[in-house]
Amino acid sequence: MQAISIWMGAIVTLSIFTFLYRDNPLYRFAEHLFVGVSAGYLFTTIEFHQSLKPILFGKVFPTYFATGKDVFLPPNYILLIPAAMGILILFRLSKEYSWLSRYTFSFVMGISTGLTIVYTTQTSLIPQIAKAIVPLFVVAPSGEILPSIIESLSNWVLVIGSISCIFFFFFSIEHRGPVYGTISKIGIWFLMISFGAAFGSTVMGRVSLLIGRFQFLLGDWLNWL
Amino acid sequence: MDFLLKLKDLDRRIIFVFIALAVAIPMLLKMTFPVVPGKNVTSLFDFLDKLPIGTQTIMSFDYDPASMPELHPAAIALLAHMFRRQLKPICMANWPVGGEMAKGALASATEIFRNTPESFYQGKNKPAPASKDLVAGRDYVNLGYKPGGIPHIKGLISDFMKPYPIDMEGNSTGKMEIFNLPSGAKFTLKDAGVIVSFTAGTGGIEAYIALGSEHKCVMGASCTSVNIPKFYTFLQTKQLIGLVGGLPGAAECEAVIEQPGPATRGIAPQSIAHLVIMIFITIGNIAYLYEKSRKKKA
Repeated sequence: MQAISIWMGAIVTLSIFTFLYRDNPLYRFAEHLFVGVSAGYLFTTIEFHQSLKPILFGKVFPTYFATGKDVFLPPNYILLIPAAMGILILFRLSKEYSWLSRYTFSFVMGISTGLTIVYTTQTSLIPQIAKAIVPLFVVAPSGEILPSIIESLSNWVLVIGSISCIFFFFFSIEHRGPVYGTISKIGIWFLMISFGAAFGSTVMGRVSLLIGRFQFLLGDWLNWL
Repeated sequence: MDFLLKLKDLDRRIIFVFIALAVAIPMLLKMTFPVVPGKNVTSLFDFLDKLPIGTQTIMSFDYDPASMPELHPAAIALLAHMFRRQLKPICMANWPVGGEMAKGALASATEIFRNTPESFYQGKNKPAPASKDLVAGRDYVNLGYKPGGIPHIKGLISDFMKPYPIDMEGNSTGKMEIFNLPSGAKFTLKDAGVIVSFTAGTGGIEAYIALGSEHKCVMGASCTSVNIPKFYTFLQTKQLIGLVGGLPGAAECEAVIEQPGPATRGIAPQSIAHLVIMIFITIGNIAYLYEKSRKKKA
């Protein structure tokens, strides 16, 4: 059984790799197979057994779906309200009644937006601003000169980088002249460096995934490693 | 010099062949490069070492097979380290296939733990576990996936067990020993010694950080390479005590637990592939500058 799954994995991997040459039916078959299997597996195995059964059916119909002492709990019918809202989403499939799904989407969007605004401000924006307020001249606790210079330099980079990057996105003043133009240019440099770091990390991530597939093909499949 | 101009328009498929060779050849030659654990990884392991024996830890598997090469080795290493330190990992997932990922990682980590010789503990001057038999529900638990993200985690702060009446295998969690606290109180997210999320995208460690002011737990993360620049900011603000970044980070984890695995074996191919990419970028830039200077002269 394991050999079959390894062979299937290898064939599908190679089929996907054929796209590197050009688009072809083999690639499209593997792609559609992946989408179909993922959707089926997600609903039947995961969503039903790990989500719907324990936290909806098990609580609304404990006698039939709950396990252990939860079988004796009274049914929690209030959960039928979110369940009904979930079912409304399926009306997206109907042209005539698709408007019904908007109630659920608006509810979900409202909750998500509210939570995101509050928590992003609390946990990202404010701590980042607080940590950007740093002393520009630091004396290391040991009193040594080199660590003091390095930390001071690091803080200068942080402060100049933060201010110039924020300024670059300030469009009420034209970015020209010795002051505004220079600050804006420094901001561009910092942004370019951060894009470079992001690009480097992305390349590293994609190469890592390729390594994972090659370890599978050369190791698990061909036994060459 | 026209050769340079030709290189500028090199067919991308030739580059693919070079990258494939750069990855495959070091693998076939079994090349290895030394891996030295960095500060961001060791700080996480050091914190785990300081936790009292028997402390529950939350391990959130927020990734799927697409990110396995980067995150799975780190998950295995951290779980193995926790078993060796007699901590009790509570595995959960905010990503649908996360439960399956946890299942695989637990199996591999259990194997590493069982094969750890007594001399390892003596060498580290740490107490050896009394037994090498790990029991689900007592030494670890895999609760599987639950939807919701931030609202779901917010609920766990007040009542951890409510969304988890059963574990991933369908066993009732009500009487599981792992959720017993010495005080006799009900287990909540706040009681976890540390929260570690293996994050491939959204809905991972950021969801826990968002609620950091409420659960007040120490947090660490393992993320894909793409996310490293984003998550470094959380290290700077000390919202994370440690960060395992991508495949190199996972290799560092394997070095800490002294168990080289797929991440360690992946470092040589990755370094060579990076070198090839750097060469292509340099050649591309030289060709671009040459073309520019030629146009100027013309």
